[in-house]
Amino acid sequence: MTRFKNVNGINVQLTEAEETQRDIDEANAIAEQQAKPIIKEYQTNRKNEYPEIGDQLDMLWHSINEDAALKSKYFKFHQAILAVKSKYPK
Amino acid sequence: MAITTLNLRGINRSDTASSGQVITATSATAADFQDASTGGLVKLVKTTISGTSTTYVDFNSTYITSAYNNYLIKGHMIPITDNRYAKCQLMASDSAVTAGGSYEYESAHTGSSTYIASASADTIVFSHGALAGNATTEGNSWEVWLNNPLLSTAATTVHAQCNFIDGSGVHNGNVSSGGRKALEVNNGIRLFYDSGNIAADSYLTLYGIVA
Repeated sequence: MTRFKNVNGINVQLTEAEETQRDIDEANAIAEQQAKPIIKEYQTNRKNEYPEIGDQLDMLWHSINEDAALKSKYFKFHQAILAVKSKYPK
Repeated sequence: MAITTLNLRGINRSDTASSGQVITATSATAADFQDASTGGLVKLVKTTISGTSTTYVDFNSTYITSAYNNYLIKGHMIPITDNRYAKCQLMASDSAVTAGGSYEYESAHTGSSTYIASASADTIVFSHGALAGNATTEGNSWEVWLNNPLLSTAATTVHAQCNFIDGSGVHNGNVSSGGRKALEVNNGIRLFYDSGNIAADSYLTLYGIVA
């Protein structure tokens, strides 16, 4: 299909050189896009609704803190956070 | 009670208007006719796409002149094919600069916090991440500022915001800026999608900004 450019509101047919260049650009664009993952809608929705990273880590720490086995398993992480909490009590 | 009719012939005032002045009322003693405000946007041209065969929207030296230092392009564009990048190129001597890694740009997709950039690109990218869809309710709302195109002593730059709300009601926004690295006069700008044409009824309006 012949392509046009709208120049200042007026349609002008692309030159042969412009058509050739556009064919190359479109082929490159499609190849480039296929090489990159497109962000899916569910990814955006999840990202928007996940708690802040700090809140997620806090929930993780409390979950560990409530389970003796996990406290032992993740001892360094638990103790590092606990040390700061103890230093600055509520 | 609201005034619905103004009988200008019935206004008997002694002040005389000069060409281009407007009637105004700033005080009881000030002249009735004064120069219109000189700031703001001057609409230069509106382009509306018809059919399905338009690939580029160009504004060239007919409108990008020394009359203004800066320009605003505002409108809404829909790609014919789904998931397209919105892009632009600048024009020298009315020809788009399409090669040579002539541009540097940065663009952020605010919905996903993803960021892309290039220091040697052949286009300036305005939208990425979640890309412009081709449903009638999608496309991109464009706001493109073209800065200093006619100056050879300062770089020609653009900064743009594009956004859309997809068919599921999810908003996607992009904030981008870039420019031509060479200090040259650029008397035009080309706006397009990376692949496929522009859908009918898409439109862009070019404004000159009065300093």
